[in-house]
Amino acid sequence: MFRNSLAAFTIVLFLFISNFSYGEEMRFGISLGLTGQYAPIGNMQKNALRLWEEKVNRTGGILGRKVKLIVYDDKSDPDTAKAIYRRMIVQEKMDFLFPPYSSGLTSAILPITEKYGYPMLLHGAAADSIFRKGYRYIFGIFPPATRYTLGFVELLLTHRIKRIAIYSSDDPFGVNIANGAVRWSKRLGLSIVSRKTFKKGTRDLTFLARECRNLKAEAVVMCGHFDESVDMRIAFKKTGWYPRAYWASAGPVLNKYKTTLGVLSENTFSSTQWTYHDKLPFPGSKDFYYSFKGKYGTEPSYHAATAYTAGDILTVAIRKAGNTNRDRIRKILSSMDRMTLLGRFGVDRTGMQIRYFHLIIQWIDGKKHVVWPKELSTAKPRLK
Amino acid sequence: MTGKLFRFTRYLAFRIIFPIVITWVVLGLAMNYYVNGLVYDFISMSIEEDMTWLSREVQNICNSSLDTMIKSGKSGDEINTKIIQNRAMLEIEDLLRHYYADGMLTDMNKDLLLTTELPVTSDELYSAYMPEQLNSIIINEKMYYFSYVSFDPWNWSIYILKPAGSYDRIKDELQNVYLIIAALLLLAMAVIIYLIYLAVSLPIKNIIFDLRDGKKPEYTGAYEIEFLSKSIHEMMDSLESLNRDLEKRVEIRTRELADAKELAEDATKAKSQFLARMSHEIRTPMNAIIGLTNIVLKGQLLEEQRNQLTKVVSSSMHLLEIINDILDFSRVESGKTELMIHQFSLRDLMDRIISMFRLKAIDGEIEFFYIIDSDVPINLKGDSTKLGQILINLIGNAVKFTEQGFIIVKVFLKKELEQQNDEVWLGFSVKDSGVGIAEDKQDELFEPFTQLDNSMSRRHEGTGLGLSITRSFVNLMGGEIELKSRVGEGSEFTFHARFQISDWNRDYVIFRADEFSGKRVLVIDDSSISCEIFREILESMGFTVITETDPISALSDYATETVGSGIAFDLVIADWNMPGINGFELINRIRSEYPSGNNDSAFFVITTIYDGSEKFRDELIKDNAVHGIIYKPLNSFEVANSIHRIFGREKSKKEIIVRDDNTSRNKKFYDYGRSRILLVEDNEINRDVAVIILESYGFQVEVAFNGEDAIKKIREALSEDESYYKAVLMDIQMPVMDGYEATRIIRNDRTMNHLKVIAMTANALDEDKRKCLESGMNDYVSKPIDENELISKLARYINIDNEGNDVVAEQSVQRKVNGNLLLNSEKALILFNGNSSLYYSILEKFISQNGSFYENLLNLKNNVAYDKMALEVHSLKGASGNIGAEKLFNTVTSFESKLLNNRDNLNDDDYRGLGEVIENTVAEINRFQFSRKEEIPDTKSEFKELDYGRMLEHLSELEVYLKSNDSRVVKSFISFKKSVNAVLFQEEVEKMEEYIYNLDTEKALGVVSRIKNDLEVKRQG
Repeated sequence: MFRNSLAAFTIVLFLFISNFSYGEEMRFGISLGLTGQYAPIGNMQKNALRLWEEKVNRTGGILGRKVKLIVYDDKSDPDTAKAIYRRMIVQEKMDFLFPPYSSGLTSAILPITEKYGYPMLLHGAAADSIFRKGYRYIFGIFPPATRYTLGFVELLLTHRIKRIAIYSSDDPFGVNIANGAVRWSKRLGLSIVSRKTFKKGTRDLTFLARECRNLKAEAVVMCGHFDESVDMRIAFKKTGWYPRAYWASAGPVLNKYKTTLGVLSENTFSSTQWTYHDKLPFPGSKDFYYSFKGKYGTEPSYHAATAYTAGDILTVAIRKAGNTNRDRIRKILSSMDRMTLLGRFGVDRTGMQIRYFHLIIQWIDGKKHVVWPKELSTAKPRLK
Repeated sequence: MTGKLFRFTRYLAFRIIFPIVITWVVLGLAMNYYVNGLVYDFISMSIEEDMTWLSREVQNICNSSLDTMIKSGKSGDEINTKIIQNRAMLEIEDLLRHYYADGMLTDMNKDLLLTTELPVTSDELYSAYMPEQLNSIIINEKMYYFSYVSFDPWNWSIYILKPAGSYDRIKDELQNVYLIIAALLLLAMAVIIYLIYLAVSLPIKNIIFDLRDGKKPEYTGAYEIEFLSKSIHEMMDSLESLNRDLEKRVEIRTRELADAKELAEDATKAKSQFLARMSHEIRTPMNAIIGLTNIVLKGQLLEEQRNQLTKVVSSSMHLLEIINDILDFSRVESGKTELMIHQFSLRDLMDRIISMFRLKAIDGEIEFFYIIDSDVPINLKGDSTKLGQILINLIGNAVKFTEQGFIIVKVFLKKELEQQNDEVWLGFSVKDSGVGIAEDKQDELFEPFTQLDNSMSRRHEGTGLGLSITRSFVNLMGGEIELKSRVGEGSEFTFHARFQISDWNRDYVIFRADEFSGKRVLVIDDSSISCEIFREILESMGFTVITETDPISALSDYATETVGSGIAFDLVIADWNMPGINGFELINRIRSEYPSGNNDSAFFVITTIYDGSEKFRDELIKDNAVHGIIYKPLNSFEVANSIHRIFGREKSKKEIIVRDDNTSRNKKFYDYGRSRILLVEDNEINRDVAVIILESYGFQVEVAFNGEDAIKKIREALSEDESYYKAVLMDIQMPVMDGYEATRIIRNDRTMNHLKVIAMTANALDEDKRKCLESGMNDYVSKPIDENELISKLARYINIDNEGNDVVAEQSVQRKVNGNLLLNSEKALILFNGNSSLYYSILEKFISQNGSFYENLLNLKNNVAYDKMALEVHSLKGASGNIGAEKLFNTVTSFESKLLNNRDNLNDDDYRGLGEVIENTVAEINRFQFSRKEEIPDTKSEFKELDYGRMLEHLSELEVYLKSNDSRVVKSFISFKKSVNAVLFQEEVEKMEEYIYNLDTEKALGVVSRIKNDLEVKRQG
């Protein structure tokens, strides 16, 4: 009798423990361009999220459950990304998902995640158009792309630079940034001497540089990713002409810009969501910066910071919900107002980030310096 | 009960559920209307509040930005101002986006979009703006609400736009709520309906099903339904109780009805039996009275006694008529009258009926006509007895109520009625010029026991049933009877009836319409009706007819026609009795005054009323004063026949045969003396009457007293000679064994079943007659015995063998040559009115006169005496036709035709052929005469004793008939011949026979007188 009872108790206990162990693991899925054109940013974001996974699990997980981050490589391809997200939802039944990098890939997978009601913290997409499609489960980490150039245009105004040429690759991200640049230029009274869009992947941009020179542009804005920022700078060199101020999106934020261009990187402006320096007043920035650098041996870019922040915000929301009910978590995210390492987090009804703003950085003497806003700047902007 | 409840259930659904549904729908629609209003108001207010709030917020942002700029002390710095203004715009953008709004800002006449691109200018918005109102504008087919904010410090005009579609969500959500509520209401309604079904319909249905199954409902549950169930239960109990009572009552009533029916049936049966018994009981003594009186009348009586006995017979006959009428009426009333369908000749029937009234018509000053249209089929199937009764009744009435004038009886085809192949509708009309009947009395006329004028009915006896019976009979024949009458002008009764056309002689025709085409006839008769009747008949034969009612004018007509056109009349018909000049005188005057006309080829005919004598005929025809006499009443047959006879045109063989077949039924001559009849009769008087009548016709009569006695006698007689009895006259009601039973035994016995059995019964009902036939009898005669009917029927049956073949026809050697009979004795006998003796003597004369005809013919040929030859041949043709030598007749006719038309065509073969036919015919006659003499036993040996008294009676009767030229003279002579000892008076009797057959009345009377005197001497001696 006693033996039988003991055997039954042992079986029940085993089942309980097994079940508990399985239930404790909270799975988070993500697809990133670990290869392909977005590979540098993709890997940066993967590392940041791994760091978040470690930190969360180190502090007891979420709701008592361990966090498991599952990362897939979408090869920077939208169709691959869509297939991966469908699989993660339908077959793997992930508890939560993070979106891929770039506005293009994010736009591709959002219809799927929206259908199944997965809250998505957009740590890799800033195109304004995403927020005009009526999605209910999206929350921007980036400020709108249209506002990338706001600080730079103010800088031009204060330095009385009036003639501006604006170029963009034909991807949504680039176009959105360029549109913003046009808007701010108009509002602040600048003269737009050229506004053109070129095919993404076009490497020789000397024709643009030549045009700028011919139009006597004082400032040039290149809206695109890393390659476009580098290629434009090379084009200036080729034409032997350089504007009083050159601003490029994405590329100059990375140290790779400097390593790629060397001295040519000097004086280049860019906008960043985040860049660490000792005066940065946002909580967790220092910890993140050093943890990342310590773990991976390289400085984290703002892409890494946005990815880490996305994980952090989602953790807070789940904990606040007390369960994994995604609708409840969506509501919490909709009304969240919180200081993160990127600054103050807050979205409007469309999910667009309205609290963060961009910092304007400039490569000066081989270093990135915050030059705008003045209150957070580490150096004065250098204009020819 | 069940049906009503079932219907109630059907209405229950209608009355409860349908109103609920309607109420629900109405409430839903009302709520929809109300809620829509509320939603609209709510949305309007929300929009207005939204726009107001947004405008205020935008204003606040601008104020706040300006304040910040002023406090910073850089309000005069243009660059700083632009930067501050841009940041203010950013804040406004965020605000608008957060609230799904769009915005446009105009700064120094420059439109700056605050949100997405808007295809509208500030000027357009400004134009559409209405202060203090909720403004809206359509942009790209989408509606926007908008408000306007003016921020003067910066000269900003800000337009805030919000798509109307952004409020659709509210509508959608309300609609969803609404749909959910509607669905819930529908569900609630369905639940309620189901509950009603459970609470009301289902229990009622169960109650109904119980009722249908004949069970009493036992529902318990809802009070109302339970109450209903109990009520029905109680009602069914009451109904059951009531039903039990009713069943008892019905049972009692049924029993009472059955008893009453039984009583009624008994009464009906008793009535029928009474009628039958009365009929029988009355007829039996009537038979005795009439029969015996008639027998007495045949004897020598004082004139006064004869008158008195004649009145006895007349009164008895009248009484019999009354009894017949009452019986007929009774049968009609009880619906037992049925048609007895058989073949008959319409012409014979009409002849018989008309002859009944002929003398009566003569008594008054009435002209009598009867016409049968030429298209009326003569041989019919139907109930001739009832048709006869109808016509007798109608004609009798016409005679009764017409003192002078005319009576016209007409038979015509009722063409307006559908004539089937085998059926024909015939119309009959009896028109008179009598007293007529008032219009208001005409309807009553056909009611039973109705006599219009008591004084008239006293004068003309009657029961008042005749027309009622007549109408019933007409109706029975499928027809209707009508009356047209005016007082003082006469009456016309018309009826129609349906008959079948007999196969017996479907194509009988009296004459052909074109037979006398081109012939002209002058008819002179002071009676215009006579003239018209003649016209109708003669024109239908093809004559051109001119009529004249004034004899003097007729002379003028004759003169005109003769002198004027040179065309004479082929025939002149003059009435004997005309005012001023009689017909004979008129004809003489025509002949004497117009000898130049073609009088030699014209025929002259006298018409006169037949008065039973033929005084004119001998006188007129003897002197060749006229060629013929047509007796009135006129009828189409007689006129046609007379005309044919006068013109010397023989009818076609077919016509003759047909006609002869018709008449032969009643007119065949039979040698009754060799026919033995068994009379089965229990009543002594009836027995005596029948024996006397039968013996008076020469029958040998044996008597049996009942059925059993009859069977015994028949068996005994037939064991020795199976043709011992020619017929059995069988009474019906007899002790020991009745006539039906006796007949059944006869029919079931192979040794006797060939016997002809004729019922002789006082049971005159139709069903009695049918029973007679069903029991196997061949025919029936009713009592009181009609002598003619009895003899006629006996004549019909005793000469027909078992196979229905005519014995006479068989016994006669009917040799045919090339399809024609050498001697058609049967047909000839008919022409001789059944007078066989006359026929035999004519045959002998024919042989004596024509035995050497062929030799004479050759002599005439050799002497080229063709005129004489023509006369001889013509004479032979007439003689051969008269004796029924058909082959000879046809041969002679052909010969004569060749002789008259072109004698050169006659060759030796024609002469030789005629000679051979004459020779064969003579041989055939000799054979026939020989066989006849062999078959007829010597009647002389049958009289063992001389009964002078009886001989004298016969002679007296014969004398009367001879004096009155009565046609019964032949029959009377035969009776006398049988009663007299021919040995004693052989020479005288032979002479008498010759005179009689030669119509030499005077000489015959002389012989009668001599024999009578001798007998008186012998009797006294």
